[in-house]
Amino acid sequence: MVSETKRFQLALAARPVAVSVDRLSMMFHHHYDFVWRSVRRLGVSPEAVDDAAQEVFVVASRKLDAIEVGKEKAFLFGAAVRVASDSRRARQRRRRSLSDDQPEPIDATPAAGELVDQKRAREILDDIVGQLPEDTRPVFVLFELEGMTMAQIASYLDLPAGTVASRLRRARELFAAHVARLEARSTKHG
Amino acid sequence: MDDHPLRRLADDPGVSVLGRSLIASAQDDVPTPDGRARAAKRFGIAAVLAAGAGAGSEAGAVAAVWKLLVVLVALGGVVGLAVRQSPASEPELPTWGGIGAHAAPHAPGGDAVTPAPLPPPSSPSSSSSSSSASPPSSSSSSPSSPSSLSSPGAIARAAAAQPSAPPRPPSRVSRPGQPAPVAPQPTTVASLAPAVQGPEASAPDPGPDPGHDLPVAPASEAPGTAGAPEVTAPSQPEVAGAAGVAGEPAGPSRLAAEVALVDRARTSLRAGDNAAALAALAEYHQRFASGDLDAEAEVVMIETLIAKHELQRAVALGTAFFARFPRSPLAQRVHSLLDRLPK
Repeated sequence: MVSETKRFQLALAARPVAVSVDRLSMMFHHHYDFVWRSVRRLGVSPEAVDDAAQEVFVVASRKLDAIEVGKEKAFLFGAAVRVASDSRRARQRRRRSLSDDQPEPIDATPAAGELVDQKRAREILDDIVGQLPEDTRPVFVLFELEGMTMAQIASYLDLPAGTVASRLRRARELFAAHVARLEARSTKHG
Repeated sequence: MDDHPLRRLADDPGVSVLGRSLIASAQDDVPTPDGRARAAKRFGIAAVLAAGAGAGSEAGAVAAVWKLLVVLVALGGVVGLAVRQSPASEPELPTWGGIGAHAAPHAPGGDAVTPAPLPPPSSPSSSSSSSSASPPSSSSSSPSSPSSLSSPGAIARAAAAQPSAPPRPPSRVSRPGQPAPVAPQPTTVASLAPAVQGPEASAPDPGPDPGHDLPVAPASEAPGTAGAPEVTAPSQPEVAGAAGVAGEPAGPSRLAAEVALVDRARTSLRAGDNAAALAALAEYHQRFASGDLDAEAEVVMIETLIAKHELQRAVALGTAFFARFPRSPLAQRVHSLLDRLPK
């Protein structure tokens, strides 16, 4: 009799685990691509992006209980920002330690006329986004590349709407300046 | 809804063609099905769900997932009921692991586990799953492991290997309403429950048996809220133990066993027991010739060597780490470990 009760308790106890498992599954199902794109656009290199996206879900799996229902995507984005930031820093350190004499490959961009394929365009985009100030980058990515509204972004990043607006403005100005420089170079090169 | 006063650059005719084309170039940058499948495998997420990500109708997918949830809860009830009614002489609890393991062969639907299509990281695990039925001379045999360790047999491995099923065509997504997901459901439960703890979770009281080791891990997950995990912690080891009694330890999947060993190594290291950490790592490498947590194990190895003041070896391993796992997010950790060494 005792063991029966115990077994029943075991069966019950297994359920919350199963439910949390499914929550992670749902998050993965709905947001894996978003997370992947986010870490990619936030500066994780193409060859590291799969691992970085996984890392975000590892973080989520550990903090599942702390993630508010309905805020899963926002949580994942926050984790993606951190993972991407770590990854960028690690890459910079690696560059420094492996080749001290090699300057940061910033602005190794071609003339605009060479923008024939998407891949090259993406590299340039990543280069430009990578040069945006860290605090403006998430705002720029969410608004310009993910198509979110300012209100959504404010809620995602837990920032006042005014801050989001000013960061976006700054990021857009910088983006426009980079593009203008590219275009100037392209006309100069003919 | 559209409360933004600004036009997006991509839609703004005031922005140059170059600017717009740069923005637009991000649109078709999406994860590969392979990458998604690998991620799903790592988390033990049923491939049906994983394949659904990205394309397809969100609403349908939500419906499918909720259906799965309902099935799961119903299943929980049935198991509970069955357990209640079963005579005391029957083997303990059918176990979630057991259900998952038996369901695993059916779970992938038409996608039987085929080692070939996946790239290197996953193929070793697939091959080990196929070889585990008759352990040959390969390094997957475990001479040094306790008796209960040597029996993560074919069923458990099949369950572990199951999520590595090749990526499906998106058409799968459009079949969410069908009852097929019933099969994958228990697999998710069986294989993810331990995996959810993640490779970083540290078991507070590592025993000699990973079957017991692993389920304890939840207790360490939230040190601040020590009370809650207590509820599940004591129960799961019994479940796993029951499975062991039944013959095949269907509970812990291969990945779970890997996590358990790496965790044990890490816990030993933190406790200052370098020898035990190295022993756990040796066991890990013996049992999993090419495991999913090789990178994690290597990092613990480097940390252990540093703890033992074998700095040269640590540096050598650290340097080799970058070559072996150039894409690992753990590279950063290795960097900071090496950075801190006295020059």
